[in-house]
Amino acid sequence: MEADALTDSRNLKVNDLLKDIRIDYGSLSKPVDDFVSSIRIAIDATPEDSKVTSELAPSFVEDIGADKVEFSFKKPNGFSLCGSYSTRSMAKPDACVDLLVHLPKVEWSTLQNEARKPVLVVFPAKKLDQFPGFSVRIIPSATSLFNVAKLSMSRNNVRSLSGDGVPQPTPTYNSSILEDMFLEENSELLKKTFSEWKELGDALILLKIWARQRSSIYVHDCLNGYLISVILSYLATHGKINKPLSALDIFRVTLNFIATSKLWERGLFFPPQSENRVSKEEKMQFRELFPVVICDSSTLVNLAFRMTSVGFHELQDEVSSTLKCMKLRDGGFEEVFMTKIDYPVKYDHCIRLHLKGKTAASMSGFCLDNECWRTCEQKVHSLLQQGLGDRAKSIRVVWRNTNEDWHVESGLSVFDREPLFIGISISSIENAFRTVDIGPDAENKIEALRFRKFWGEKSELRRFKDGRIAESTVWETQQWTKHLIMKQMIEYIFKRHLSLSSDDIVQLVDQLDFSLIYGDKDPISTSGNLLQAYEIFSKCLRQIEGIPLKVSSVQPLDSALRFTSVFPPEPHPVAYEKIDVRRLHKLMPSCIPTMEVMIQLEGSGNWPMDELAIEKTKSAFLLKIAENLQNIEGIPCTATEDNVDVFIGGYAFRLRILHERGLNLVKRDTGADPVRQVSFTDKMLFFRSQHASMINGLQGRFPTYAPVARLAKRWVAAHLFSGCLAEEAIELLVAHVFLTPLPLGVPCSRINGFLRFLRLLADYDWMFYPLIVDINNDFGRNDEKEINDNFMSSRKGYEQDRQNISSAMFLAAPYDKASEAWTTTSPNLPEQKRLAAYARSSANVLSKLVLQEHNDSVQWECLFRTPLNNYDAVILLHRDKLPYPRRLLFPSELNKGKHVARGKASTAFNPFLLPGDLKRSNEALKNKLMVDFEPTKCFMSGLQASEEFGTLKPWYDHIGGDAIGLTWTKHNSKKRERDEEEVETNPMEMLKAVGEMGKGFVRDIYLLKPPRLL
Amino acid sequence: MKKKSSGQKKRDKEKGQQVDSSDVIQFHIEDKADKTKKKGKLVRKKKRNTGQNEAESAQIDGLHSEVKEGFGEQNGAYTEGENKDSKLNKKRRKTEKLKKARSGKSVELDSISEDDFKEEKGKSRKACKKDRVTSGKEHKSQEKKIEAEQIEVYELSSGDEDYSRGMKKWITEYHQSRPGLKMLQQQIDDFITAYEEKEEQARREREALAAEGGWTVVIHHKGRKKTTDTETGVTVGSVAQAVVLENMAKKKNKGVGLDFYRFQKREVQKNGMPNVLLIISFFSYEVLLVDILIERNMLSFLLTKSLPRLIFSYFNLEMLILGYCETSKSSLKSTGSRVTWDHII
Repeated sequence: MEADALTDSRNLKVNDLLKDIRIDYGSLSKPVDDFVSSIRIAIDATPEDSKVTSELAPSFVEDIGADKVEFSFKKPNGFSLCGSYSTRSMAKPDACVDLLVHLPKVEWSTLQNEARKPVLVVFPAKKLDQFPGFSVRIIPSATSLFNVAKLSMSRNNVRSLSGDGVPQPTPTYNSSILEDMFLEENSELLKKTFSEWKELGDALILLKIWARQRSSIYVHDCLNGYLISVILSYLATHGKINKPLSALDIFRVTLNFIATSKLWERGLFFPPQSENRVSKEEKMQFRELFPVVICDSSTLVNLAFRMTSVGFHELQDEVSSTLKCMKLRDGGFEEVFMTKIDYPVKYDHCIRLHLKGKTAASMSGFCLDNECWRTCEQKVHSLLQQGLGDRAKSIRVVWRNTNEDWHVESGLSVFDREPLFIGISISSIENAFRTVDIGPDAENKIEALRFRKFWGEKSELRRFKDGRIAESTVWETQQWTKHLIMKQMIEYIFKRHLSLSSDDIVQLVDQLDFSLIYGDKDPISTSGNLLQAYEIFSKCLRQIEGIPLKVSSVQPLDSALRFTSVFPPEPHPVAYEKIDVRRLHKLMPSCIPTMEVMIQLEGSGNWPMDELAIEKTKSAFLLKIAENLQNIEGIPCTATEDNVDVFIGGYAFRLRILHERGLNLVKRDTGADPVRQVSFTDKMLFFRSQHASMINGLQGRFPTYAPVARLAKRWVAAHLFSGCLAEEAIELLVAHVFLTPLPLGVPCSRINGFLRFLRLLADYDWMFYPLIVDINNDFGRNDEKEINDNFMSSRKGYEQDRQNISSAMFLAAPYDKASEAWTTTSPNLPEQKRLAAYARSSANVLSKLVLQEHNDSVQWECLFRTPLNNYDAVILLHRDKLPYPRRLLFPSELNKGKHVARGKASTAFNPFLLPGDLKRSNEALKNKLMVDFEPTKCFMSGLQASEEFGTLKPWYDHIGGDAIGLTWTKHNSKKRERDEEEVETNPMEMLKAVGEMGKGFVRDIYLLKPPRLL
Repeated sequence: MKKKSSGQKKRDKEKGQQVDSSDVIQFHIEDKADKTKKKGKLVRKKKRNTGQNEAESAQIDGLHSEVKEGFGEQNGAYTEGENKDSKLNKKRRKTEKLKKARSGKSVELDSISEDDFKEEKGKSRKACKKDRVTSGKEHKSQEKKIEAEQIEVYELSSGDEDYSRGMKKWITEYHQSRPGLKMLQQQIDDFITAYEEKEEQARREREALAAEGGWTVVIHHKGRKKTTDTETGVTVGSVAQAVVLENMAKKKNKGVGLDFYRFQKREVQKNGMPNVLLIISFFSYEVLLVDILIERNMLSFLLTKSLPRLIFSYFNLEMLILGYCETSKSSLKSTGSRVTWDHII
């Protein structure tokens, strides 16, 4: 039943998609006919036998190396429409009609026309509103112009290609000409197959949509629309698909065929039209020459002659992952048809090579058997494959040569203006981060020599632990820069073998790292210390004797203890048991962040029942513990009524007690007695501890998880969303990227993971779907049903009022199937929309940065620099009053809007300990160190607590920004609204009051937009 | 009807705004007067303080430049190569210049990304629908008005002399909230004593009430249910909970598989056999089994290591038993609490 409903919904979606994409041929046919006839008139107007000389396109003629260029114009014999227009299977937004122009019989036999087949694209003078981008491609065809026998695969037709004076066969070149000769015949055949079989045409559209979403297979050395239709018609003529199948079924059968058929090894051969059958030898020859063979009915042309084996492997990989998606419970419609898989999101490690002016020189011309750019692709690919070995799962090298503004006149030399693009999928982090590559044994002379030749001075003979002596390469680096090893290798390879300079090699690996640097290094490098200190601390806690109930368990809560904190604390010289004067230095922060640690005590029945009393009792216990630590172990502590902070090993830990009473009820919450509700604090503590341990497990499974989570957190904060999206929620979102990567593989690099996080945030349909983060991979049907029920009840109010939903982002995790933990109140719907808009624009910028040339570091900063004019008012803070000024990414300035107020800095606070303080006694110095003091937090809580500022919504960065955005909002309750009508406060006055509240911290206030009238 | 009224409201509001804005100007005049007074005071105060603060402020100055250096380090290499000995002033000027250049650049970039953003926003706005267009116009006119007004910028004091707001207040609060462990302990002890007294008082009142009227008020006794084992600290169920459990179990008697408790599954994976924990459920014959064992004085046998598997194989039960064995038979029957098998061994 349920499965049926799901497939039904998928079919519905597919049909809708087809309806959207299909083109109304009724209304298109008239403009097309008009257009074609006007082209015909234009050509007819050209006088017969007018001279065509090389002056019309001198560089082009020169670059293709033609020696005879005296032609006279002959009128084409005729025109015919072909391609997807003729088979009625065009797919929006492509609106391009192919027009074949039959070249008349002339003596052309010596012309090396092949190259690169310029095609004329004609756009209508008047744009057709109905079909944006409508154009006609004029493709010259040359039916029976040449002697077929001369173009057989073993013949040479390019004079300059010869080895030792013996002409070598030019199969690629020959195929290219044969393709032109049989273009018309084959397109007639396709027309015949596709007419009167609507489903087949629909399937073709589906396949095109599918392929178009995947940039890595919809390129010159892999699939194109024409080849897809050829494959479909092969399947149709060989009875692999039958009439009763639906379009989606044909789609599936075709994919299955591509992924698994044994026929690919033998080659696909259309039934020959004439009596000449393909001999065994010919088949053999085709298979030896081309990795993929699709021989047309003329038996002479391999239609897939451009396809490379790398391209075909890529195709098969994509197909099998698509088939996996189609087996998903919801049919995978989104994954198969709607998810864009472009290079930046597909590949972990992207590279752009600038080879401008370097190709033609290195080879003896643009066009030999193959074009020089293709040869170059192959060379780069084999270099990388040899150099990277098992570090790379797949390597794709693509060089696009079709500039949009290319003119035949400018010749071929401009084709290398675009950089060559390389995408690498990393096989596993373990391999990619390996520091030593062991090559062949020293005894194996030939291999060793080869290795030495490849690696040059980088290779060295080494003795390994197992006694083996072998050639090897060593890529030494620090722990926190291991993700740069591959970058280092690749740069070395290209410099050595292609003699490129560093500027020509743009690798997209570390461009985001600047946002995680503190001082001069990534603070994650000190995490080892941190964990040690934590271990010592937890041991101490468990050993404490002098308290009524012993500590039974200690669990970390803070994200720094699971490597996902943007800035894990650095050891502070003052936060030790004994201050070592030698460690004191000049620039010591006056503030220290705390890390929360949760403990549980032995069970006891003596706990009070009242919530407040429970909390007080907890405090009493904590104080006892603190006293004990301080007096017996000599570990300094400081406390407030609610918090106890302990200094150990240079860090400050904050203790929390989980009271077990509620726990049993949390575990089986469905049967819970409503009277004995779990106290809120304990519930949150429970969530947090569960979350902490699960995420800790996850980051162990996926080594890239932690850095991606840190980037994501940094991004959210940098765009002033700290108040909207909890850090734990961000961690869950990133976890989803890693746990549910389909239709892609698991991300293995920071940039890739971060981009996918942004796209998830931007594209997910939060209104209609819960996001299920199945961390331990153990959700069953019942769990999913439970989550769905919870989700539906959170969306109940939607029908009446679009704003009336709880959990605008519904995040279900194993410990929280009702999304109660992180996103119940924030983000609300407008906040979520804003987040998605920012994420989309950041994702677009990031994709562009990967693909195109703006490798200025400033451009990358753009991703983390939030435009301040998106707010109604902006508060700028005194940068030297921020507790951790080094965390600031960019100093904010504003010269727009109305300058409302200017504030002086307070002298009461300094982010660094003053030299005077250092002379004080150790005790006094410890008191000077402020634990978890965050002026921004104080400011914000003041702002939010006050009724006066009810119409102001603050946007801030809790990590360390110097700007706070303000927007005007409507009052929530109706009652307040009425009040407001009576007392309309002046925005200027309100902003001044805000400034007064942050005196000594606020530097400037600007008003950009006054509040809207409601 | 409704539409009309809302339109009227709008107009009314606009009027209100206009009135307000005229008020603004007046306010500002007042403000100015105020400010001059305040300034005078400030100057005097400052003068008094300067003597004390001189030394400190010099230090602060030094630090400022250090902080700025910090920025430099973070933001790029533009402080690199600068002579350390060069005067602070020089340095400051330079960095400022560079900063300006930088921010100029950034503005351009921002506009790029912003354009992008606007496109997106435009879409969502369309979705948000309706009357914004008109209000937008109003905006513009208002904005112009505001720009046209040339009022001088309001000056905020540093707040150092004033404990009621701002940075000084936050710092003071921070220090006040940390009076030392002793003090805090005292406060909490006081609270708990008061709390206990209150409880005691309430209890006495109840008793008094009972004695007076001759009626006994029967209250469901909430506290002091055994929730944890005193020795091991392992959570154990109370009677009420057992009842809940039993009810739940009755509802769905079937379907409790070996992996009812998820951690058990993991345990099984870890250890290869599920004899770490015993489950006793109260609705099938396992109870009988244990009863029989106890009656026959075979409890000691029960507590040997080999038992779980023994029971398992002997009765061919499809379910193992999650933790439990207390030494007395009665408590077993009544509470059905759980203990990990490890503890018994």
